Amino acid sequence: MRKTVVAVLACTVAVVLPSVHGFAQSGDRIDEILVQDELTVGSAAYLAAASAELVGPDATEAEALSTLGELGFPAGTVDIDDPVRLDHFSYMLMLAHRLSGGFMYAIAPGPRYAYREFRYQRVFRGGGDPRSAIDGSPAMRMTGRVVVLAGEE
Amino acid sequence: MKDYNREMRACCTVPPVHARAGGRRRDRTAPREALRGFTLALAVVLAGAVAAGAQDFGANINIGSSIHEQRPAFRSVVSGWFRLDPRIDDNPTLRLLAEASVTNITRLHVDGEWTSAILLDIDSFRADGILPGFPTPETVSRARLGRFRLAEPSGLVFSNRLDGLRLSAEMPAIDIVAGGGYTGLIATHNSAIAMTMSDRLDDADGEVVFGSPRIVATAHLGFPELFDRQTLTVGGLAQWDMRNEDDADRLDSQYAFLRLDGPIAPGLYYDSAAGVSFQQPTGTPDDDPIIGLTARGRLEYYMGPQDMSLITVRARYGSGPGDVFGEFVPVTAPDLGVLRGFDAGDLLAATLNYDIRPFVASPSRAARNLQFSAYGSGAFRADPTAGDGFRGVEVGTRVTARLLSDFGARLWLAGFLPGEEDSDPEVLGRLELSASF
Repeated sequence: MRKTVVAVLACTVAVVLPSVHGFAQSGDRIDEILVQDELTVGSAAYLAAASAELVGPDATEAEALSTLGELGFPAGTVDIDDPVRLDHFSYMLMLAHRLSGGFMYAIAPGPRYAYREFRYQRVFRGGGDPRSAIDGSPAMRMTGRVVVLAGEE
Repeated sequence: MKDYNREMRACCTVPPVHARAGGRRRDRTAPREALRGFTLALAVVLAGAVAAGAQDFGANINIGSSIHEQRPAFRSVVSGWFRLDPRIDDNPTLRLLAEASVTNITRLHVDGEWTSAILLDIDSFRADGILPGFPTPETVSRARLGRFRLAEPSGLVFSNRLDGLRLSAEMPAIDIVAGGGYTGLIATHNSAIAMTMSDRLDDADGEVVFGSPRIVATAHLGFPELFDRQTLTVGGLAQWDMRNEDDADRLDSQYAFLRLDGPIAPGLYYDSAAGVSFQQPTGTPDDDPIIGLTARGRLEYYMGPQDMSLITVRARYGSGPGDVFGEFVPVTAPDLGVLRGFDAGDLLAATLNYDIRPFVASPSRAARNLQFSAYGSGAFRADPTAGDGFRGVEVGTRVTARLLSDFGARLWLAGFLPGEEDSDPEVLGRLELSASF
């Protein structure tokens, strides 16, 4: 059952992200992310940066996190192997895809208002705890939704 | 929206308190002191929430003005909230939410004088628990305790904040929901209960702090997609007036209702409900209640994604005083989707509404979220053939702009032509701005 879910999600990503051919090709990395019960900061950074083509499919997690750090993510405050928080992952995706966000995000960009923006845009379901960890599968769905949003902006 | 309508009706039906009290004005220093106290309390609560590890907190600002030739009013609401999600092992989920608000209402009264009031209330203070797999593996059980908004599913009888409890069990074939509580500790400006003249007088009286004191109990059974994707809901509600026994204007009532909703064809959806009420005003024997009838229907046709056009037809009926049935009196006034409200009893009303988002394909997100609406609504007495059966017609338009995820605005303009010959046509409007932080 789990393999089926993984295969379906991987196909979904490949369809949703046709422009990031290289990203879709890195099937092993995707499989690895999909089965994570708690997505790590490194995997989240890779997912965000690779889906925006900021890094190549063979980039390391450290390189992806460093790239996001250059865009403004507080990379120095997190450990690459720790579970990523929902609001931090939201901020990574906002930065990587250069999404504009709301009025408060424009004034004070950060995880708080990135999380609010994604909750409003229904990038994730429900009003989950912004500090909670997330599984690989919902993280992949969020990424797919953000790619669509970025295309609309 | 209900609050605005309620304020307007209060202005229309009841003289303001200072007029009834010989021109007495409220002490204007008291609200300032109350505001200072409330702000301090809110700051302490928020600081405590942060210290306790609140997962999320924020503030909302809503500013609105009612445009009316004789009765303009301005209303602003600032609310602060925080949320706690205590971590529990295994499956149960617990969430705590608290929200408090400061409301300023400034309005022009019939005597030509402006009044301003600052009103405080705790909007929500509740704990939500979710128990998946209890008591059977397929069941999701939920519990809500504290202050929250309780609404019965028919949309005919009750939707109001109260202090109480709500329990539900969602199973594959049936949903079971029960809830109830006390409404007498909700601030008057946040309570929509207007069953008796005492309720309306208290609502308009600045000296009365709390809304109508009633105990409300309700339960319903829902059968999701019972047949052909149609959902059936049956339930009942009872409320007891908790005013003093010697108050001559008390009203107890019980209601039974049924709702059926679902899709008819692609893009076509309906939602209908009917109910019966048993009302016991003071002095009426319990075994000989006044029986009222009510029904409503809504038909929606979604015309497609190109401009997200939506045509909605709504109709509502509430029995009036007659030989067989009495006047239907709900616990809270219904939302008829119009600016100029009507009482739910002795009513036969129909509304045609058209919504469109013409720039839904625009690259600008603000333009995509721009929605225009136009509507016409006519209201009659329950017996439209009666001599004075026509109650009025309202024609209006709305522009709603969700410019950003945390900022929105709405402009609503309407014209009302009353049925009574001695009443003048009215121009009504409302401008609303909302922001969250």
